[in-house]
Amino acid sequence: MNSGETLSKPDLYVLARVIKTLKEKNRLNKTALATVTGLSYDRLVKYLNWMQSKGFIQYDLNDDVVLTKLGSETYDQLVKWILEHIGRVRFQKI
Amino acid sequence: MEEALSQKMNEFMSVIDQVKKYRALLSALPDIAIIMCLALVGVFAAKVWYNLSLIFYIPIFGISTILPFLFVAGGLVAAVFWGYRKMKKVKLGEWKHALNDDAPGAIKLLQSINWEETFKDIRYAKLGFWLYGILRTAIAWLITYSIIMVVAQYLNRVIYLNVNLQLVALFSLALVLALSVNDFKKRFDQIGRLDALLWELRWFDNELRRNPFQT
Repeated sequence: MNSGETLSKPDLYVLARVIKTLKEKNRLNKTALATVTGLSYDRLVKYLNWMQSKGFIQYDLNDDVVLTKLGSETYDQLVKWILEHIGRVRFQKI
Repeated sequence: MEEALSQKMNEFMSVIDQVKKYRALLSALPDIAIIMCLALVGVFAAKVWYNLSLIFYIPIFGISTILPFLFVAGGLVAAVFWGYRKMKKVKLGEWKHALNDDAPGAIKLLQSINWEETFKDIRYAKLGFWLYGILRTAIAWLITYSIIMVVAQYLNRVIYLNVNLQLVALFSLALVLALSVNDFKKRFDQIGRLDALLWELRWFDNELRRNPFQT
């Protein structure tokens, strides 16, 4: 599998897991991130490439993955978006 | 914000679970119909037996009078038990562990929902509501009828008051229907809510498909 491939349509759940983990741990190396998120290394690298191209993450001098401000804001926006939409659906007890 | 999302998702998934339960009740309808048909066959057989006992002078010791009632009561109890069993079989709350993951868990749940199947379930659940209401009313009718019959038989022995069976049946039905008005109203409201939920979910499904974070 070529780790350099980019994703055409990333899974929202995987993106959310990666970002949430980075938000909690601040910075992690790729192997540890793959372990914590439960992704295979190759798959994680694909996601990281995609996220880097969107400016959601960056690498520090030790090659650890760091979440950018944009990545953090995007995640918050995503949560807010879902909450807004879910919140608009009326769930009265049946 | 993530806790609020988990809470909303919890409410949402609980409603979906309830819909599944009523859907299961509706799927038990053919079985319930067979049980009730068997009960009616039993009633008919008891009547035939009673007539034969009159023709051939077979002693039946008054059992023929309660036998049809026993068949109807047994049929209703079996039908309720069967419906309840089907509803209990539905696996509920399997999604709960996913919500420990907060927002990613909520996203996973939303992605895993088969919306078309959910819409279909809601449509069927509406019928399940009515079936549940009818079964409840039928049982209440049977219980009321039994109580009135016991009282009527007592009165018959004490003051020789002869009570018409058809009148008792009609009176007990009228009484049960009058007492169930609120339940019917509630049931009607619930169906309205299910309809509203169906439309809201269709809208949400549409929004989820074209959310700005997919690409």
